[in-house]
Amino acid sequence: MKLGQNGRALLLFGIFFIASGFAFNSYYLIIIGLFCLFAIVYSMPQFDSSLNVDDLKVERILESNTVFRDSFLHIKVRVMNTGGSQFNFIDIFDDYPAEVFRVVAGENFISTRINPHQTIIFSYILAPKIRGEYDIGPLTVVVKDRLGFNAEQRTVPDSVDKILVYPPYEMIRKIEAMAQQRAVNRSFGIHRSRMKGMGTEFFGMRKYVFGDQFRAIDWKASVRSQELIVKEFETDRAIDVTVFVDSSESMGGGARENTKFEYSVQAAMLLAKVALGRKDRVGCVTFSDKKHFRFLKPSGKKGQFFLILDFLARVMPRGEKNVFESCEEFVRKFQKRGLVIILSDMETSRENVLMGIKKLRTYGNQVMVMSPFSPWFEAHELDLSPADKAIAEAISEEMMEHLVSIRPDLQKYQCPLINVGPDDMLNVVLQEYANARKRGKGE
Amino acid sequence: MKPIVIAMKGLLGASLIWMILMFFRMMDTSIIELSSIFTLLQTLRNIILVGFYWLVFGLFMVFGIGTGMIFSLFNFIPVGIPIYDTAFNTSLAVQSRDMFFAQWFPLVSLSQRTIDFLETPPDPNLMTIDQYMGYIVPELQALGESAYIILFQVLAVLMIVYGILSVIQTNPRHSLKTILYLNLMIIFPLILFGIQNLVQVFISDFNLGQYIGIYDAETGIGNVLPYPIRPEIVFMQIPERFGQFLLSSIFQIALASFIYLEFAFQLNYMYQVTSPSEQRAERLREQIQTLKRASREAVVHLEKIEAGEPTEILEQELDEGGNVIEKTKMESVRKFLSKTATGFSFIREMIERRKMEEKTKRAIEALQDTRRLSNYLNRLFDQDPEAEQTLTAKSSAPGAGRLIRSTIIDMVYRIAGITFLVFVISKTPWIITHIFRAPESIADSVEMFTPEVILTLFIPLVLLFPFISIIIRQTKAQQLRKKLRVEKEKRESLETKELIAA
Repeated sequence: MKLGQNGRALLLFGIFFIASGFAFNSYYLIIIGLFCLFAIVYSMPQFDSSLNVDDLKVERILESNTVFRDSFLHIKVRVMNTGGSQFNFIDIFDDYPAEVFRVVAGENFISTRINPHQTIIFSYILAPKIRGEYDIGPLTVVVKDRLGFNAEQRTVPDSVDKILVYPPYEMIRKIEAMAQQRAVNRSFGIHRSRMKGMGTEFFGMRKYVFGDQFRAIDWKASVRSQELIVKEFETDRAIDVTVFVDSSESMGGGARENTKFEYSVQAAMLLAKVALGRKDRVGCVTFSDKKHFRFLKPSGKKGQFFLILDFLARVMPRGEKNVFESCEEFVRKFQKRGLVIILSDMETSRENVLMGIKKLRTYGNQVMVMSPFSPWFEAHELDLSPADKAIAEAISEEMMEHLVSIRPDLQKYQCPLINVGPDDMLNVVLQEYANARKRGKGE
Repeated sequence: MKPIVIAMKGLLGASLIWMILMFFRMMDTSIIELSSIFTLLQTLRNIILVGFYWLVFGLFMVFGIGTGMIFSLFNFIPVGIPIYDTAFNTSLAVQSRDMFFAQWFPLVSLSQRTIDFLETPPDPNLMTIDQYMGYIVPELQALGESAYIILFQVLAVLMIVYGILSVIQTNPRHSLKTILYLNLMIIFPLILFGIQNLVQVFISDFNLGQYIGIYDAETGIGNVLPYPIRPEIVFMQIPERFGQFLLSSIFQIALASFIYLEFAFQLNYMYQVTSPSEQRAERLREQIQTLKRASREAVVHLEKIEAGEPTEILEQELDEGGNVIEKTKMESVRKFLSKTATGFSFIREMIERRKMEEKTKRAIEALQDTRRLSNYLNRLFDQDPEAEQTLTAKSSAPGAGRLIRSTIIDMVYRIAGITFLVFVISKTPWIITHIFRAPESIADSVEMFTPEVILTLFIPLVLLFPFISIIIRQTKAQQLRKKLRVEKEKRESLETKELIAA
């Protein structure tokens, strides 16, 4: 228990008046000092005897544990007094991370009085600002006496709820719409696999060799050429596409809502949607250091897109970047070869990047690197002084030189490095994926 | 709920007036002069003029002495003829002061307070600065007194202002300030007289022992500064009987202050408990209305934007930001970058393009947010009929009847109890002598006649309440632990039974 603000003020007054009374031999001052001090302590036993905080049941009712970034979350707080005595004055406060959510209606606190067996419900609406996984709570209850002299604060146990904020629903809807439109698919070009099989698209003709199926023999062509000729068709073959999203701290630079990481997550989602639409198996890796490595196995099942959505929504940019260790971890967990698309700013040592790519290539993966170029993403924040602008420009130059120096080495591993900006990132990523598939990469 | 709060405010106002009226019974209003501000200004002006006069004259004196010293060197010339005489120099200085510098300053008049002090006031009142120097001590006394009375008046004004604010704004801090200023009006003169007594002790007699007695403050009153508080009340002894105690002035003034504070805190409580739900409801209603209006406008604007038509919002953006201004700014950025950077035109373009797009994008996003929130609220109110009530927290508003009843009971209980306790504490010597049957050596000791004797009873009594509170708390915690243990045991035995049955 502690004294409230009013209690503290009265305590000071009481001591001051009594001391003055003693100093000047004034009983008037002594009496008023006594009034002040007794006013504080007089209600203490009464307050404590009526204070049964355990009778107060406080719970949070969430509309949902997941919410899209452009949606809203209605949160109700129910307070029940299960005991037989009233609480004259209670403050209930429901905490939320203010940098992530904003209250758009209602209030997340209440000051009231609650009678025996009464239930009070208040609610508020939160609008998330940033994708990710966040805690709502804890609920704090402050029970005060009527005059605010004494107060008791309790944190409601187990009153923290996890809220998962997905990327904006509008964006997901757009992606779905894009993927459903045949026009989109056409724009990427129809994928032609070099694998011959039972497909419908004609691939070519060749001489019959022992072991070929008889039904593959083209009799007309055989008659014309007086040799057994076999007709071959292309087959559509699903590949494993793994999207590596760099979740190191460097990806989180700039305005919180428009970081490289946020764009990379959006790009990864778009890629997943499109690739799944084309029957590829899509997986996801988020990486920084060994501790923060997370892996979602490639799959082409129906709910995979939502699994990826959920998987990506929980990741925050943390830890140092270690491309090699992450690639090593990946190949340890998943040995099948496929197409690996890395979304990373590559702000790490050249050797580390090369070793990582080499590791992936060793296991037969085809690798592409899409590198969001930092200055382009932080450009909107560049309302800087001339001197700062010059520094920013110098940094940009250095970063570009770093990427330029890595590029030829990556090409040795047949790994293209493509710089992307916020405006073209989604388009470029899709285009590059489509081109890669056209060329039959990852098979 | 508003009528209750208004009624409480009325009661608070009444208690404030009662407290002030009671307080004025303690005051000797005859010595309060509203004109003391003029005395202060007049004496202050005179004293500043004197200060300035002496400053100028002092500078001249320094110069005179300097030149005198230089000229005195002529005395060392052995020709037998006195070239320099110091008497001339002194005469020059005096004449310069009286005939020259003094003419720069206007004639001054003594303040009325100084004239009242003097047994034989000067005639006429107007005089030169040189003449005025003879009255500087009573003038300083008048200055000190008027400053003191003005301070007293300022405290009174502050007390009344904060008293009024406490009624209007329902903030207990204002009430606390009112009480503080009221009592400072008593304590401040007491501090001054305490200092005066202390000085007198050192001046009149070196045998300090006989002057440290508690009644010295009374003897010092009225010697130098006027005392606006009636000593017969401030230094009044506590009456013997409870009835007399209740009717005594000191108790009534203290009680009036306490009741005023009590009303202020109770009003604050009522306000805090009842107003949030009303304010929330009001805010939400306004919010929803604004949102509906904004949403309608947003839909129109967004449709126009989607159709590629120019909209007011975007035009406003351009007008406010200034198309030309923005371009100029971008021009300068481009110029700067072209000078400093080489070969990274794409970075530059990107920066500039983003800057231009930001405003439009933000405007569109704001419109979309408004529309979304409006749609969400409409859907929420349709799906959950309780939502509007919970957002305004209507169910949290307490019932008026219960609130009034509990407030009255609480106030009566507190005022009666605390008054009794204060009386008990003030009767400490009687309790020590008659109830605790203290030996004669203690009962007749000097300490029993000092106010500090109340501490012997006050400290244990005031600590008794938190002590009881701690005992209650500990008992409750123990009971809770016991309850939890029993529940746990029950649960475990049930689980065991289930396992056996399985």
